[in-house]
Amino acid sequence: MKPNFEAMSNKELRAYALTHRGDEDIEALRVLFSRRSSDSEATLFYLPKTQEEEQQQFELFKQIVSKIETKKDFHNLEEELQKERELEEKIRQKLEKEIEEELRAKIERELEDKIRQKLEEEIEEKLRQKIEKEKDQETQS
Amino acid sequence: MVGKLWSAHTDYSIHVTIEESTIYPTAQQAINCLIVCQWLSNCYKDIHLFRFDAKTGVVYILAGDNLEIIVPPNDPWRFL
Repeated sequence: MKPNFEAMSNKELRAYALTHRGDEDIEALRVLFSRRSSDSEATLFYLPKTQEEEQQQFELFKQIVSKIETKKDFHNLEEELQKERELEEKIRQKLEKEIEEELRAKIERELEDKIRQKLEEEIEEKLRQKIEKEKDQETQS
Repeated sequence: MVGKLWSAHTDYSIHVTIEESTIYPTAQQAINCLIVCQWLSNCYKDIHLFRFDAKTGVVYILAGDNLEIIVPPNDPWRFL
């Protein structure tokens, strides 16, 4: 089945054109071509008429090549940075969750201990009161 | 480099037949392609794809990391 070239990004179209060389596959390049910048924005290379002109054009060509490749390097770097940032965020969220769970368990344990202690104290107090009361009753009788 | 070539009169014998219409690459286009390929090679750039579109007459060249060049039949060539 023919892919929907119009829906593909330039990067995808390039990748497709590089791996598909059939007659119909040229459509990918046509779509890429249709998305070109206007001629007024582009550098146009006419047939050089003198050696000097050819040399000048070659210098310009080299400049454009290095500009395009720098742009790509920069783009790759940005992508890597973005991936790193996403990974960092994931790790941070995971850590936060782990710490929160740990803390919650600790707080629950401490709370339980405190309640138990308080209960024991109350029971002890009540027992003591009861014992004292019984002692008083004994001495009175 | 190509001084001799582009001043020479070139009768092109290469042609492509597609759906009853024949598209010929032009002499100017052929010379431009030669210049582009030579310059890419001078810059140590690999040419990954070279394609003549028999319907539109445009030549597409993909080279290096991200270089896209088009060589139309009669217009100047350019980066995409």
